Amino acid sequence: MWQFYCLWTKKNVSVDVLNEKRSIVYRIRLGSVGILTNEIKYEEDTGNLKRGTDMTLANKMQLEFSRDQDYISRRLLVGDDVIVLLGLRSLIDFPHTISMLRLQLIAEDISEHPFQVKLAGLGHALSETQIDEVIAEVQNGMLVAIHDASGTCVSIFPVPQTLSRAIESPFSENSVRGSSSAFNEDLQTNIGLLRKHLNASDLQTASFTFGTTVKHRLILTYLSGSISSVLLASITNALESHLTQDVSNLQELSKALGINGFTFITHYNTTDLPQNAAGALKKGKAVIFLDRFPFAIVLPGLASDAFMTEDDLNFPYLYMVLLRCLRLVGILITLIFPGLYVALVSVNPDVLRFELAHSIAKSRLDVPYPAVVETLLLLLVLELLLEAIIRLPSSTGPTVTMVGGIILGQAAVSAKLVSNLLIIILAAVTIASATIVGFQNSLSLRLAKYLLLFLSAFFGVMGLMSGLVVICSYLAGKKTLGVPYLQLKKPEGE
Amino acid sequence: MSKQWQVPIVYIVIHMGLMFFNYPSNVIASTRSTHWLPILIGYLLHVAALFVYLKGMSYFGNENIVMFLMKKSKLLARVTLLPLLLSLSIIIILLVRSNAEVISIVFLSNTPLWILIALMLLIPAYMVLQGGLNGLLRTGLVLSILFVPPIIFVLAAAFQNIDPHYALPLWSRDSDASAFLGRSSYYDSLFSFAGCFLFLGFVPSFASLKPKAIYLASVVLLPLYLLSVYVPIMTLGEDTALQLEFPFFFTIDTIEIDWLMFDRITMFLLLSLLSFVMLYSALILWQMVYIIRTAIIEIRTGIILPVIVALVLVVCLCIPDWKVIERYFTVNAPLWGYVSVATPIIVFLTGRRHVKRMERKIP
Repeated sequence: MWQFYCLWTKKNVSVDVLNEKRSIVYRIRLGSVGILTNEIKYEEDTGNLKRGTDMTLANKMQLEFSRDQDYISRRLLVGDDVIVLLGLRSLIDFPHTISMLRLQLIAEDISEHPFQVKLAGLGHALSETQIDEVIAEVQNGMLVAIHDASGTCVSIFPVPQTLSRAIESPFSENSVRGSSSAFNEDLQTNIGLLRKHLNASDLQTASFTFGTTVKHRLILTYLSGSISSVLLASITNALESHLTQDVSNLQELSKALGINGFTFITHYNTTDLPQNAAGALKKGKAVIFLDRFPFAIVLPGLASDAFMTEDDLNFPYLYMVLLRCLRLVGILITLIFPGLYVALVSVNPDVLRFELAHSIAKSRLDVPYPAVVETLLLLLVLELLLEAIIRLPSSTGPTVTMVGGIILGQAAVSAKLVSNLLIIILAAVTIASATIVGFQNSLSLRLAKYLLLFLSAFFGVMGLMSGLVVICSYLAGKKTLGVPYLQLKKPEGE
Repeated sequence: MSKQWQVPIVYIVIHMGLMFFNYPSNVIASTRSTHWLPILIGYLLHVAALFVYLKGMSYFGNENIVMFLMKKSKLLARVTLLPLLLSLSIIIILLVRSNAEVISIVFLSNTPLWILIALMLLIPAYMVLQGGLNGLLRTGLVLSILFVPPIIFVLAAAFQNIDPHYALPLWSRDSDASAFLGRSSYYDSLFSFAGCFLFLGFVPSFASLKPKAIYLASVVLLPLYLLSVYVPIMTLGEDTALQLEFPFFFTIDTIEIDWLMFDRITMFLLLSLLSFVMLYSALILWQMVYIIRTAIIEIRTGIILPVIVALVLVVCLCIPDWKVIERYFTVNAPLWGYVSVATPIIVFLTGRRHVKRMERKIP
């Protein structure tokens, strides 16, 4: 046997040379498993070269998956016919699938049809020459059945392994009065949930597959009657022009949508709840589902998403308005309070009433550094605490809470490191910042308060106001796919 | 957000930003009694100019004045727009310089003045860079949501110490009633009427402009103008109010609210008004950039805007004190008066000629 390395296929090739009667047979085998790809017979009498059989589809597939332990290729006898079943064992429940297949193929009522017709009826036909298509089907978790005798190749829906969790209540947002079944990692489940919540004839879905080697499915849903055609066109154009790009996280999705990554606001919102997605669709937004992401991505994000939820609509109108006002107040408190403290303590104590200014000054009497440093220190601890609680497993989480309580509590005051008032203010800020809707929006808010803090340290209350103006104009200038960020209900162009 | 309200709200808000600073003292200085008369006449002049301007613009369809005039005749456009550009640049210098002075007096007496001037210039410049006119209109809407409530609160609280008798007599028979027309301080006061309505001409082609909504908004302005003059008069009396540089702010400073943790509610008023001044400065900067870019030389905003800001900053630094600012105000008054009268009329006449010609073409 001779061993070669084929530069063209980049695989090891071995050639067996067999001396038969009056002829020499070269059997060319590929790969480490040694799959027969070609057989060439040299007839000594005539000097003819005769080609043997080409590689079958099953063999080609075996070669393709030769290093993949997950891959299964099985012969199955059904009556007199032999079919080859191909698939991935991690995605397909083989015992159940085979019994299902058998039952369907030997069913009495279709017994008069030829075998290949029966087989073709079980799934959709694939072309044997298009091996890439067959590989994609196998990778997608489909069962491929090949009937060599008739050259039929069919892709069948198997009994899948259960790899997704059941529909559960949401983790990253709460609903008080709405339905509480949340999206999970399975695309089909998510679309199904959405359809349950939005039984509309004009609910359209478009599917995109991103990536060349690693594939990701993305499903775009919209209500054709509600969405503006300009927005829809800009979304589909952006997606279609980036199909070769890898989209395995939201940053890459932003890139695919043509959204500038250097931004402080979220250009899309995410939601766990089908009712929120349905509400967004009705308002004329688009909803994107990404494979293995347990939430819907609502596009475009608007300023109103930070303080309005679909759940509010289940309250009486007046309460809805009041609740939303409360959230707006929460946003303003988060933004203004740290800056206001610094401005009033260090730059403009004169605007305060004398008694109050006096008591604040007394509480800061022993604090050895300027107000801005004091505030920054405590804010830093607070941010670290917020981050640490996300990182830690729930079993050790309470430790951080307890220790955090000591640092951000009376101990820090007794040690004369910070003033009483600052602890109260930061507690108020932390509570208020939690009223904003959506985790990603709270990140923007957390960052924005530092701008106001620094401007206040320089310019006092004037800096506070300038900071607000800067934030307002920043928000006013932002656009997502041509839709201004600063809008309340329907996303509209300029 | 509701787009049809953007322009009227910005129109109201930028007038509010101007009316409480110099206007009360100018009006109080211009007449001894019947203060409503100069206010009303100023207001009617404003509405008349507004009417002519909006009427002229309605002939243009969906084009702003710069685009339209450039299309009609480049010479006419430049003759109209260059005085506008010049007076806009003088206004922004005076506005920034005077407000930096106000901030320095009220809030930040230790901060060097040039930093305050830079702050009052850089933030409007940033606003212009962020979003152009549409962005500014949206910013105006948010700023009004944030800062109009404190102003309303302060205005409501302003009635704490009033004595309505000071406002009387509402009509005096002596010949002095029209004497304000002869005083220069009255013409200075007109600036707060004429200061900002010309920006409306730039709005079409960027956002929808409904004349009806603008007239409605101008109705809102009249009580505010009356308040800005009558609150100091009714609180302090005419003679005392006459002595003060900023009678309105002084009046607000006298207000005492027990339950509020702040000593001076002037802070709320002044901060809110300054945010509107920033918006107005941004609008002026944008207008200047737009005029330069469309009518004079095609150049990127990112290049021309820093140049303008740097020039304004340098000129602002050259102005030594408040007296000089006031003198410049008076010097600029004729130019600004010409611009705010001539521009609407030119726009009206050009628009009407355009429509007449079109009618002749399509009988």
